[in-house]
Amino acid sequence: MDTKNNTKKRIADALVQLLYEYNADEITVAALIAKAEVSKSTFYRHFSDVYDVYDLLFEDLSRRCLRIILDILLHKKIPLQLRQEKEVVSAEVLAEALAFSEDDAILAQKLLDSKDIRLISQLTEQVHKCIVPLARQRGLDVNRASFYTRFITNGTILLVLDSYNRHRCVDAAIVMFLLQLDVSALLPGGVGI
Amino acid sequence: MKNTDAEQRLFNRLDKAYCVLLQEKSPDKITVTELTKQADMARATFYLHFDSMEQFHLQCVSRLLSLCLRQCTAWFCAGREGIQQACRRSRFMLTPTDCALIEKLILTDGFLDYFSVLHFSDTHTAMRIFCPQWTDGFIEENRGALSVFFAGFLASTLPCLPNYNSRAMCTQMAYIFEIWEYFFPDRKPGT
Repeated sequence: MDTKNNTKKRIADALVQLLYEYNADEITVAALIAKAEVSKSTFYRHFSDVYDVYDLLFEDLSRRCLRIILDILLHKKIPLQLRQEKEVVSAEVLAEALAFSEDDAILAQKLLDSKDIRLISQLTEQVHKCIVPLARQRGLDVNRASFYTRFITNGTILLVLDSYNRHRCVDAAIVMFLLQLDVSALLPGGVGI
Repeated sequence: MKNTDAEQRLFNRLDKAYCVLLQEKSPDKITVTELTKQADMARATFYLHFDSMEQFHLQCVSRLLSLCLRQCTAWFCAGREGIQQACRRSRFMLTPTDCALIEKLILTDGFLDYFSVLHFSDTHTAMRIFCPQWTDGFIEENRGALSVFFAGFLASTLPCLPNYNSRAMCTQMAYIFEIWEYFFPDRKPGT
């Protein structure tokens, strides 16, 4: 079982390495197995094509993004010290605070490049999946709780992608707001209903 | 420049044809010849109004985005009292062709780019277009909250447009108003 996962990981790692130099559509299975040093039959035992490996990587990335979002939003683990007078948060500071590795950065870059709203939806869908059992457990209105969370995460991801895309940094007013935002007060429909 | 009825009908025909072609190809693969053939129209007619396929595409996307934004603003400004009325199917501003095009163009290919480049030079302008009643002072004071609200609103609402369901939208808007009241307890939506 372990060797199986190791092989998968080796192939996935090889793809990340290749992504530093090429776009996904330029990478062939041949190039990938050469880099990962596995045989063709081994590759096809685990994956059906290059995009299959790509999906695995993105799933992993979005799972980790999700953890970060939940950490910040729900558990108030604030990873960075912001100075009020600072206007923007640079990408480097943000990446450092969120413990993003260089490999993550290259994947995130590919995510930014595609700018597809469906990709954003996929990411928020994962958040949604986590929120539903949480809401149920606390006896909350599941639909409302998941809509609130989806609203905030959708907005956050869209905003961060957009401002990063345009200015390579995120507006500090947005970051400050998110840090102060109490999602758990929002969750039970905290407006007193 | 105001379009005459005849021009409008012509544009509708092109939109419909574009919609059909997009089912098989991506926008950059569609040629003027294919489009005019599908629309049963002379190439010369196309070139009377557009310089190139690219210009046609941009104009199409720009029109759709304005329409989406106008629809979203209308829902938002209706407030709690008017939302049921505003969500009626008869008040829905988008035609089936618009919806199909939105699904194929706006929600996929370079969605964020379109929003940034075509409409808003910055978030400030975006919010002024979204709700003209908001003053500069209000926007500046609440930039963070308004940005998150605006982005959340668009990201939740736009994907619902192609398969519009008035009842679902009404429920969703009720949630959105609740979020608004949480952010800005003293201010009615759209004021």
